[in-house]
Amino acid sequence: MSKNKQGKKHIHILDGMSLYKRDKSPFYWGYLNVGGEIYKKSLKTRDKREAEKFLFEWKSKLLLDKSLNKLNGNLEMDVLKNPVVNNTRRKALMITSSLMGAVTVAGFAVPFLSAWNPSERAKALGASVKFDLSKLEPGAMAVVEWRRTPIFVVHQTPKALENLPKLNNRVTDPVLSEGVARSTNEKFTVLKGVCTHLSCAPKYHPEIEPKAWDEQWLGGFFCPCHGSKFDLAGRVYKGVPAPTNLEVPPHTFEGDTLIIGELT
Amino acid sequence: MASEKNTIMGWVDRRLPVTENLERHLTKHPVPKKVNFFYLFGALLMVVFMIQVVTGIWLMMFYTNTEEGAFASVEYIMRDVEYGWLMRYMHSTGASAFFFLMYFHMFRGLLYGSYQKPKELVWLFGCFLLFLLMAEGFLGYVLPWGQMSYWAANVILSLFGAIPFIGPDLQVWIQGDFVLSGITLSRFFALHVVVVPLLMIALVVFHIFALHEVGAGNPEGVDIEKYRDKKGMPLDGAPFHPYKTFGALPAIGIFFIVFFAIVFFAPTGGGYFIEKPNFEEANFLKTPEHIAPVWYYAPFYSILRAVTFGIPFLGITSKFLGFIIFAASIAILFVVPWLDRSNVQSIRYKGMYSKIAMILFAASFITLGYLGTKPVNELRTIIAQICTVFYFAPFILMPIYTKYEKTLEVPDRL
Amino acid sequence: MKKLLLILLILSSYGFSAGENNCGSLEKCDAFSSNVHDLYSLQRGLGIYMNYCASCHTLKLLRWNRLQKDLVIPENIITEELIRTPDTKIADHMTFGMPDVSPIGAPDLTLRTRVRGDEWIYTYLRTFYEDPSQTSGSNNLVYVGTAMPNVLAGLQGNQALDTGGTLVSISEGSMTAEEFDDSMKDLVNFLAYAAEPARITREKNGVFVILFFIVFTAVMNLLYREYAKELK
Ligand code: FES
Repeated sequence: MSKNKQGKKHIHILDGMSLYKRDKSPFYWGYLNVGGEIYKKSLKTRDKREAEKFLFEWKSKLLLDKSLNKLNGNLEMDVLKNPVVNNTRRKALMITSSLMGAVTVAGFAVPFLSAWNPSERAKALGASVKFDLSKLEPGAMAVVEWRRTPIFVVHQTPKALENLPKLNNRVTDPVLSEGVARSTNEKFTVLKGVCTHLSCAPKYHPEIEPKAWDEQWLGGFFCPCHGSKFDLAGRVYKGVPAPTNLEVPPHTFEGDTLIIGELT
Repeated sequence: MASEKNTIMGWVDRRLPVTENLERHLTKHPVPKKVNFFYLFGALLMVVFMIQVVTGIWLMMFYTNTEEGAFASVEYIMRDVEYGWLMRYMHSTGASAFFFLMYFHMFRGLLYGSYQKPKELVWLFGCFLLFLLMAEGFLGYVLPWGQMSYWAANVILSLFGAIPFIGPDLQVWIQGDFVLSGITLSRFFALHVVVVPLLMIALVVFHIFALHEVGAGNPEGVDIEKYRDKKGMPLDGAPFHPYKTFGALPAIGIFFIVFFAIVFFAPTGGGYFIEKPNFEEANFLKTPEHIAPVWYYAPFYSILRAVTFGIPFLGITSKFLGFIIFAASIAILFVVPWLDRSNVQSIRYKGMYSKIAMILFAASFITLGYLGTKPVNELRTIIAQICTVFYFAPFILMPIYTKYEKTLEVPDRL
Repeated sequence: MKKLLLILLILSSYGFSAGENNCGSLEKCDAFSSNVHDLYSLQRGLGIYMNYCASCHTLKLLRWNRLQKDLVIPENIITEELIRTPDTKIADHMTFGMPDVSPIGAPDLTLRTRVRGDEWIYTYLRTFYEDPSQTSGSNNLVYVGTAMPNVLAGLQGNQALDTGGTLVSISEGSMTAEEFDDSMKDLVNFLAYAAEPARITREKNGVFVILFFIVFTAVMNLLYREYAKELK
């Protein structure tokens, strides 16, 4: 009987080989010192003779493992030792599976991206609106709300229709192909009330009189934000910040009724 | 090496060691070369977690978290939003899938001793994740504001009211109102979409980092770290990529087949995933005839109901005792690493008693789950009580039987 | 043993269905599961709905234009024959100008089949009988004491409860018993559609998604096997 550093009782067998008991274990435990490396484990037996036998077996196994390790000095992870080389098959499989992966990702993307489209509710709210033109006096303008934007509906006077061609060389884009009033109905002009510069709402100034912003004002829209000028058909003047004409929303005339928005 | 390359990646690596860390923690991380299908649930859980996060974010874009708007907004998602129904069903099915995979993943842990030294922390983080998942599921279930959302939440919240002294005040504090109301709904929404998911992400990161520190286990319970090659890699290991990544792909495929079969053909799961009363808006005055929890809470709900007696001389009511035992049924999982005294990891090398214990545990868990979805009667209560005992016994007796039973010798190599 | 456990787990997860079978005074509801892929059935169901249900009930979650698209009905038929009120737009919900909560207490029907189940509704519609003790003059086997009058009597004829508690026909309706059952199937199909319009696309396209993932699994399995050779 001897005591090791931890104070456990060791039964000496050979040099670097001993048995010992641990407090909580009913079994014999083995202690091995193989070339300076210490191994300990439970031998899973209560019988001392058996424990000695197991200890010897364990030691020879360890020695064998060690010598094997020495022999194949460059032992590697088993999987890396025997690589299978069949490159064409492997490549083909890689390509097919990458394609499948790409299709899967794209397939997942479709619903998530589509979900950002206007919902049925948004479409219902954005559906076309009707406006009764019979009550709009010549020269007057009505503001109709469509898709949360103000829509300007102007009833043109004969005077205004006469004046519009006179402005052709003062506006950037006369778009005569759209008709004089830029509308399918000569008498009415329908415009989005959103300045094409930075989205302020232009003001309606139908009077034909000199204005602070224009000596020869023939009526039109003036944007107070940065001073853009448009004529009564929403055409933009040259030399103002706004780059393009006021937009014409999709609309149709059905007798005295104006329908703003697409027909479904 | 990569850092010397004159490439964009090389430039980045000299400043932020991306390649090195990817290789160390992901692509070249060694894992045991031979495992079985039980070891795939972790990867699938990551997939489900991602599905839940992404569909959840999208649902959040259309959902209204008010008492007046919640129910209608769910129907808005189901009808008016393009593919909204798909998002919603993926999210609701994902919740069930999450629990299903989680239960298998944890059962794997119990079978193969994935909680033993030095993996205690991995296991603890996992248990916390189960707890958070249960909280997340509960909070999320309230959001559609249907009849079952409302009344099931009512039942669970009134449990807090059973705690002596502070109970009633605590319940009111959690609700933010004297009854469960829109105020509660709003805070549950915040918890469900921000607080709990953030905690879960953090814990998943800890769970995986801790696992990489101590190394993944295997069904044999062999320590692969013992024999290493010259570079210090375990001989019985294999680099994570391509062996494990490619191994996970077919599993993900099979998972998606089952998952989408449910999403497209049985999204309500016969009333187990989305219950019928939940298509009716919450009504404070009318309780549904039969309140059943969703299947994944059923075992624990059963344990709660099985406690039909209190401890009168201690002033503990049956309701409170039920709550304690219900809480204990989850809490006991946390201490498993310190209950197991076995000198082997895997059930394959453990003794008879361990095997019987695992079967008892699994059988009682399933039976409790079945009973939890059914209305109570006398016989069912007795069975539930017996099963509750069998649920706890394998854990409570674990220190004894694992220490004394005869185990087999574990091989050295995989 | 592990396999046994697994089989047990899998079997037990399929072996039972949620809740108890609930069918009022009846032991079991008549078996029926709705089919939303029969266009003509849905259209016939819509017809019955418009004639017999729409005067009291609403479908406040279903839009006219969704109905028009899914049931392939020409728009002018919707606007001229079904909507009738000039203020109602095609994108509006099918509420027929009624308030959300009906003054006579008739529930909204949009989600009914999801709350009650197909079988319940199908059985309910066919088990009205004359009962003078009720204010409406009729009672129902599935929903005892229902406030709904038997509006379908014209089609089905009147029924009464005999002493044994079974229904007997006491007057003829405009339909034979089979025709009436078929009409009620159409109606439940339509209501099931109204409860979840997306179900049509869902069930149609689901097959392709699953087929895709079967191919996905096969390819990925080949890929894995190719690398798994090295793990031996
Ligand atoms: S926004 Fe109108 S001029 Fe700038």
